[in-house]
Parts: sequence; C-alpha cells; structure tokens
Amino acid sequence: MPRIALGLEGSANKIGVGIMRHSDDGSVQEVLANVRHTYITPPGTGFLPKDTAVHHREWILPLIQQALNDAKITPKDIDVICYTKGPGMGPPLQSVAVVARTLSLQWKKPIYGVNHCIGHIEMGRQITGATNPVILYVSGGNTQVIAYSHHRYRIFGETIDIAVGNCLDRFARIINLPNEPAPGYNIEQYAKRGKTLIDLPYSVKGMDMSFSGILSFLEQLVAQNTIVEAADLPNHTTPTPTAAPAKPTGKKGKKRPAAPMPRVYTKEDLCFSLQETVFAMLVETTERAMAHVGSDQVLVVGGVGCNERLQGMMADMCTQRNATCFATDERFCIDNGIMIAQAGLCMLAGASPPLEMHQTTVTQRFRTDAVYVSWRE
Amino acid sequence: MPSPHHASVAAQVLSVDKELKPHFLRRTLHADGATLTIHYEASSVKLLRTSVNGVFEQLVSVVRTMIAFPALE
Repeated sequence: MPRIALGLEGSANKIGVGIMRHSDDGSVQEVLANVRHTYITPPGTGFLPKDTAVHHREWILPLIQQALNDAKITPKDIDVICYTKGPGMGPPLQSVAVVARTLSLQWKKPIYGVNHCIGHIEMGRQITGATNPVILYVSGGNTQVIAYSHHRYRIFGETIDIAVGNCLDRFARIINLPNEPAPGYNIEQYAKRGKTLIDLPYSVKGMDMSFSGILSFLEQLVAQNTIVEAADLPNHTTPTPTAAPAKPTGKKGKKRPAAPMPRVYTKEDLCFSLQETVFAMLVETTERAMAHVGSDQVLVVGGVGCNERLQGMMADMCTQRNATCFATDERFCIDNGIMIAQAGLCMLAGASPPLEMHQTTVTQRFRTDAVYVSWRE
Repeated sequence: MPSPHHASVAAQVLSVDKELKPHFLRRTLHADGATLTIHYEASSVKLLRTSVNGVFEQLVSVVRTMIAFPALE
C-alpha cells in the first residue's frame, strides 16, 4: 500500500504544508501538494516570535485544506502526520505542533516529530538524486556543513555565532531593503548591479565560520559613511574619497592623525561585497569537508541555497575538483512542509517509532546529529 | 466544550507543553464529560495572566482545527 504523509512546517516565518506519497517499496516518491505562506514585515524590521505564531495560526488551516485539494485526497487517505519538532523559534513551532497533535487525535493517525535540518537534507536528496553528498545547509537560522556516516548526519563545520542568512537578513535591515519577497532575494538583486569589491573581514576558522564580526563591521561602516542607491549617484559612478586636511599640531609638536572623511558607498557595492565574502567562506569550508571525506558531490539546501551566485561559486569549485554540485529551486530551498513529510516517511520506512502524545513537544535547539538515521545504511 | 470528545482532545493536546517556570506556575488540565477544567497555581498575577492568554490562544487553535477537520470514525 502506498504511504501518504502530511507535513507541517513553521519554525521561522514561513508556514508550509506538504503532502508526499511513497510507493510501498519506496521506489516511487511523489510530491502531491506543497503550499506555503510567508510572514513579511516592513523594511528595517525583522519577524518577532509571538507575531510569527499569530500569523501561522491564521494561515495553517486554510493551507492544510488547500493541500488536500491540490493532492485530491481526503483526511482518511493520510497515513502519518509529520510536524517540525525543531530547531527554530519557540512560539511558531508550538503553534504548528498544537494543530498537528489535534489532527493526530481527530484522524487517529500516528505522529512524527521531524528535525528541520534533516527535512532539508532528505528533500534535497530526493529532488536532486544526489546519493551521498557533502551538504551545505545555509539559511536564516542555520549554517552547517554536513556529511553522512554510520546512521548520523555528522556536522563537519558550522557557524560559531550567527547563521549566514541571519547576517544577510540583518544587513538588509540596516540598509532598509524590503523584506518582500525575502531580504536575501533583494540583496541578491542589488549585488548583481554592484561593481566595486569593498574589503570586508573574512572569517573562516578551520572547519567553522564566523559571521557576526562581518555584520558589526558593516554596521559601523554604514553608521560612519554615506550610503546611497547607485541610481542616485551623478553619472552612476562612486566618487573617489579625498584626503582629510591636516589638523594643527598638538602638545610637544605632535601632529594628530587625520580623521577619515566619510565616504560614499552604494548599496549595490555593499551587497555585492558581502555576498562575495560570505559565499567564498562557505565554498572554502565545503571544499575542506569534501577533501576530508573524499566526496565528489555537494548538495546545497536551505533558503540561502536559492542564491544563484552561491550556486555558481559552488559549481565553479566543483568543476575544479571534478565534482558535481546539486541545488534545488525556491519550492524546496525555502522552508516548506513537503520536506517534513518526506523526512517523516523516511523515518517510517526506517522503522523509527512514532511519538506518544506526551512526546510531541517542540524544542528551539535540536542538533542535526541527534537523530538516528534509521533509513540509510 | 461541544462534546466529551472535544474536551478530551483539548485536554490531551494542551497538556503536552510544560510551563516554563514550574516553581512559579503550575497548570493541570482534565476533561470531565464535556467540561474542560484548567487548574492554575501561580505565584504572581502577571504570570497567571500571560499563561492564561497563551493557553486560550492554543485552545482557540485546537477548537478551530476540530471544526475545520471533524473526527474520523
């Protein structure tokens, strides 16, 4: 009998519902429905936990109904209910879990709690066909380099502070880029029009990465200089900075150092420089992991994986190594419900037991390697 | 609640999440027929208010879900 899973995802500002079907031997896997709504806040702001939970509660029931319609099935056709156990933001995760529990009791179906990162990985593998890649998981909330070994997705390298997507999103806020459709998308469009590479801190620490220093550097740069849109510049060229006038001599004839004059930077050049810098860091750490495990496949998952420049840089590195780079489009890169359904069906296939009701909690911290990957060798 | 089934589902769903400060606030739920009873012991009015607000948001969500998707036999 084919198995059908309902997947519910709401760990950040996207509420996603997906319905996935596996044939009884698991060889045929089909996406029956994949719907989503994103909570978008005004430019210069980010999304807060409680408001995000309110948004999810408002949208989740209509999305479930729409998913059932798209899949042309009724509730009794669903075999398992899958929800995101973590990691993510507490209130939004909980708002989704409450609905998942209720449906499990109403429809009398088993319930699985899925790790969000593993959802991304399993959906990426399914859609691209990558058999055993090194995985770069990059989003607003997570930045990890992962490789599979002995029933665990091992974390080879990760950010030691904030996620790369968090760095990008907060920078978009600083320069007031809109959040519609996503701050990272708008950074990508501005970066395409950037011409000058500004020297930013580059922070790779062995297998790990750090992004909060780059963000602080940019915050200070924006505060101390003039930031414009390229279109507002006369002749669309960035003016060259002039040297400051020498200050009068101070005590004992010493000259005080000249204070730097504020420069003019374009948002386009800043976005371009930030992308080039952080993406190079991601490519470097991914390549290091590939060299360690001897892998010739890379899979990029997570919202930042939508970025075509990152995909291009990763593909260039892979070409140099005779490796293959796999990536997905925004239906699967960006948080979605279908990846939760997919991972849930994997757990079912691997005979991982469903949860008892008292176990259907959520957790803000949930390490990728904490899950026993029962469905792989 | 509209029926014993509704009360039972609500009690089960809302009992899963533990309160964040068990020393300062305790909450228990149980269903008796069609009545859902939520019992609170709190050390301050503010804690009580925020917890009650949260539980009611979740309760509304449970009830709306049951209305949109009725029980299967």
